[in-house]
Amino acid sequence: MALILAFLAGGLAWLGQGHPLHPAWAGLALVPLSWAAGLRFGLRRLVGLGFVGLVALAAYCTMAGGIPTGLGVLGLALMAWDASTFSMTEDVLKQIFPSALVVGTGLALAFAFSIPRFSLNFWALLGGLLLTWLAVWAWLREAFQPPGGKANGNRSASESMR
Amino acid sequence: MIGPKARLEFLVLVVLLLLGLALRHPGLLLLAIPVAWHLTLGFALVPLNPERSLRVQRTVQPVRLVEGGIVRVAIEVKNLGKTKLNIHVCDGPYPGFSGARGQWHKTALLPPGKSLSLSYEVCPARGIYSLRAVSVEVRDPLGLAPRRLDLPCPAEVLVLPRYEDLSRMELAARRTLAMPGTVRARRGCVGLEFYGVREYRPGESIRRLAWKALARRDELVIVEFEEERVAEVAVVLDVRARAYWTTSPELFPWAVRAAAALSQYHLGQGHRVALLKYGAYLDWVFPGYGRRHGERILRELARAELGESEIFADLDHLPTRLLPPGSLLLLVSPLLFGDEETLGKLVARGYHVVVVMPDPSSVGLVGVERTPEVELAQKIMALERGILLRRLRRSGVAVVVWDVGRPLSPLARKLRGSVRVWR
Repeated sequence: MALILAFLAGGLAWLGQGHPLHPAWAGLALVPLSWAAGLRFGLRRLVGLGFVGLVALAAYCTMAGGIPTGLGVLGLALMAWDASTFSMTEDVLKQIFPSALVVGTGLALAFAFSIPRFSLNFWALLGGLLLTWLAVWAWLREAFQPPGGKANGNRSASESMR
Repeated sequence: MIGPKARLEFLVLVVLLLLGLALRHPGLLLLAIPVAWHLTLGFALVPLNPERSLRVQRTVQPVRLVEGGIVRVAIEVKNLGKTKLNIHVCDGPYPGFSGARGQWHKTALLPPGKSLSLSYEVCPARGIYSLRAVSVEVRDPLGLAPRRLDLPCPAEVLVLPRYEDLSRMELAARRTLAMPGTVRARRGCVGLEFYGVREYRPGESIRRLAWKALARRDELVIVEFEEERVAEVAVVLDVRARAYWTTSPELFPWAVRAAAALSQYHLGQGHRVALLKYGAYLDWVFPGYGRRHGERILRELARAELGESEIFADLDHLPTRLLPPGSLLLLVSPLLFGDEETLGKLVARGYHVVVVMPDPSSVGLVGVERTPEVELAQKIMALERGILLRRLRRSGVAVVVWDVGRPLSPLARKLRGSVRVWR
């Protein structure tokens, strides 16, 4: 499943650029291939490399002018990234549903943000991002605190009693 | 807690944001939105405190077995929570558990109220195994924050050494204890074997009168039988790694089996048996009788391992104060040069010393090519061993050289009658 989605992402990037026949685009096949090798030999780093490659491809497509293509490639890359952690013994469709839902809403949000035209001060944008970062960090710290409370009270010394 | 997947995704997000800001490209910032959303919702979907909603039960059967037996382990993981959990259960592999058949790890989506079962069979080596916790990895739907839980589920498996049932072995101690047993005590009293006749003393039962002797001598004569008593037996297992390195470490399990066979046989005969593991440190099981004591000895033998210590490098530090003079000392060891001196001294002090020596040549060389040099070394070792055995026999030590591929019982039976019984 992950491999199919990765190939689809690569194909979409190629089609989005007007299916060019330049030999450099043949290197595109390397991205899903690294994914395949990673899944076949259990090398998580190769899968990660494939994901980073697809994100880089999405960024290239966006910078080349096709924001919808870039977002589409990124969406497929994220779903392939999720699918690479699925259990092979369980129903894949059941497992891909939450991933598709999360990626779909994320893409919708990104499209929604692309419609309004507004200008934002650079420093305001940077400040906003930092604030968001801090909020996410605080939430993560609170949510994933290990169970158990802090110990209080007197403790006896570990020396032997004489 | 936060998995490698989430870390890489976060890195991608930061790079996209930085690139977007550096290049002032809104498209790249837009790309960061689905990644940020994926991360945020992914963490929101992580099940909180899954350890409270999972219950694990492990059944191990049997918990006590003899080496070579099979242990069946069954694990049941139940989801007591209200959300579906994607779990990966793993029990083992434990060192010493070999030849696992069945499922010892499994991945499943576990709905609320449902259970996941897995079972496997293993053939454990001799030892005591403490199975503490079952490892359960709880995965969130997007795999961003997998949590590994060690759910406590203690169980202990005791694998005793396999030992041979020895029979008709008469290794007597030089000194006996005051309780009736099976060792001839060289003392006339009540027993089975004829010992002699003596003058009748008033008060003695007339049922033991020798009527024929009365007719012949015209005086009251009484028949005496040889009294049989229990003896003090100390089984000493040599756990000095050096003693086995020079021969072959594969011998050690056989030495443990021999020690188990000897101790169980003498306990079965009603003797007072002690066990000493000599080598790494002094591991002493105090002398005792009966089945419970036999179980204690087997348990100690189950966890016997080779060790090394500068102090116990030779047999000079055998704790003779724990062994009363005249008791039977059964040493199970491949022996080292120099040990014969100590054993000779023990014989001189009144102990009856018997050495059961597992024959190194009977297990062969493992992992060594058969070259002319190796064969020459083997010949030299055999010569040295011959000298050692001759010295031992001269000093009064009874030695049994045991080919581990054959039963020990016939060899032990040969020692019968060669023992002088002292009172």
